[in-house]
Amino acid sequence: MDKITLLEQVRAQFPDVMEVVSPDPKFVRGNDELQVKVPSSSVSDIASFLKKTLKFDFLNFMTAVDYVKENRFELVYHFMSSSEPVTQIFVKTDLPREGEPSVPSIAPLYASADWQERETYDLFGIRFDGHPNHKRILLWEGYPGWPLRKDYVHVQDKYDNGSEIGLPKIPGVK
Amino acid sequence: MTAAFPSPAGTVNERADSLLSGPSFETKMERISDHEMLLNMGPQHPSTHGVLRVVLKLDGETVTGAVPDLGYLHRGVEKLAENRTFGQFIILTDRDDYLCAMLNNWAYCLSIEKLLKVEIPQRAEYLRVIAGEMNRIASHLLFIGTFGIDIGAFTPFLYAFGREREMILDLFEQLCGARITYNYVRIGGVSNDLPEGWVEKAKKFVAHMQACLKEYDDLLSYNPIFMDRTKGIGVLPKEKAIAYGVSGPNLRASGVPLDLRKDAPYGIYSKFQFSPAVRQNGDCWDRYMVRRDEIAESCKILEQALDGIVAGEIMGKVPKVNLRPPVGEAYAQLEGARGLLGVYIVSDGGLSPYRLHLRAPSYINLATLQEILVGWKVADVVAILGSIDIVLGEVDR
Repeated sequence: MDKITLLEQVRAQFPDVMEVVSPDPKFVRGNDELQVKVPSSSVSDIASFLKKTLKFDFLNFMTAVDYVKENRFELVYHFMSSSEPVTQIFVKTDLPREGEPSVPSIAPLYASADWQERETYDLFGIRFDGHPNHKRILLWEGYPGWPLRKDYVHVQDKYDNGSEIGLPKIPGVK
Repeated sequence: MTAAFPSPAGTVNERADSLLSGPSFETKMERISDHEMLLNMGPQHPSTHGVLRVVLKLDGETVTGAVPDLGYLHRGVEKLAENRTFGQFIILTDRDDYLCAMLNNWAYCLSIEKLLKVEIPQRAEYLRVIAGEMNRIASHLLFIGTFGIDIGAFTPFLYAFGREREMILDLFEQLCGARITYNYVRIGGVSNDLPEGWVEKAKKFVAHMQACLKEYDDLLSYNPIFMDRTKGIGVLPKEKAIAYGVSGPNLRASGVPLDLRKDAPYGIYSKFQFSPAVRQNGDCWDRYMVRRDEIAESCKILEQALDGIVAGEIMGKVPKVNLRPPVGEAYAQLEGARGLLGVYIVSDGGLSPYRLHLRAPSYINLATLQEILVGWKVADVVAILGSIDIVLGEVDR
């Protein structure tokens, strides 16, 4: 399916979906595949439409990017079709950085979103409403902060300064 | 902002408590009835090939629930990337999936080359294919060896790991000076040209490897005990594999012929004649056989690449220092030894990536474990875990 037909089909169902176009002419997009921006509230509706109607049965990866200067998180989903791997679509959505950013979970639709949403929650602190097992995955419960946020501040612990546990002091580390 | 968070729960026991309590455990395990027990497997367990912990719920010999606990090897590679220059980060990709570091280097460089829109010299493309396919064979050989050990067959390990894989590592040592972490594929090309006589040695190895497959079949593949332990065990149906985003040999063992080298060729893969290895049943034996068949297919690609290699430059026109890709983003993926290996990169025009995400196939493949272990016996757990072929360095990143 080519890019234009795909966009038309998605827009017929969801008129508020926009193709991602950069405001900056120098901005490079390394990928030719269709990229669309959707409102965060309709992520799971669109994922459901992509899966059931357009046969995008394979959620390849999902992640987030922290655009701290623009005060937003961008979630990136990449869908593929397992029978026709060249057909791909990037779905993006913006979330405000303040408070507890949250987005509907697509884990009930795509099992692969289960751990990937947990990873995104773990490292960015973005909540996924409706996730069946909403816990941290790589770091432990109670880890201070969300490390992949751009404003993350490292909390000093015993490993930063060996003197507290009887190791020689590392020069330059306070 | 940090004051709002509770202090880290430091001890292992506290971690264990947090895993075994709360909503997660309630969902996955519901409640333990009086005839069930919990069995802790790992993090130090020989068959986890690293540090993975799985909490199993057992009813007698039968597994009724499984919760994997990851993160013991988490190094925050994606955060580290934000403080490295683009060139420096290649050495960290070596350490993600340290069993096929060439393909990791390649996937990372591929995404930056998409941003730079740079032309790669033909000779470099050939060298990438040769190094990549050899590394795929090395990775599958390690799988064959250790999977045999998991099941209880020690001898194949000495052949696959101790003999053939060693030959590949020797060839790599001559090629780039390293045996495990190569830093060979660079942005725009590769780091070293072939040393004298290398092609002949490589051709000799390929011929040797093809002959060895017969030996492996006699030793392991069609060994009745091995087949009893793996055939029909740990079945991953096609639909479930797709839903879980499983890729690579694990997906092809479930009957989905998805292979990026064939379906969405990158580099010069469209030049080579080969057919992706596919099996239909999705059990442990099929997952093993797909990898065994893939070694044969990789040998075919290697033969063609070693014959067809062209002379020329090995580096494209990319600045060696102060590399600043333009503002933008790119996602590139290739067929790794464990599945779709992708790198998503966002550049703000600076010296280091603004954001880098690794689509780690082991991490995504491992998620199926919580589902496919259920219903099998304790003795099958190691066979099933081994057949998924994870690398914990890539799972935890």
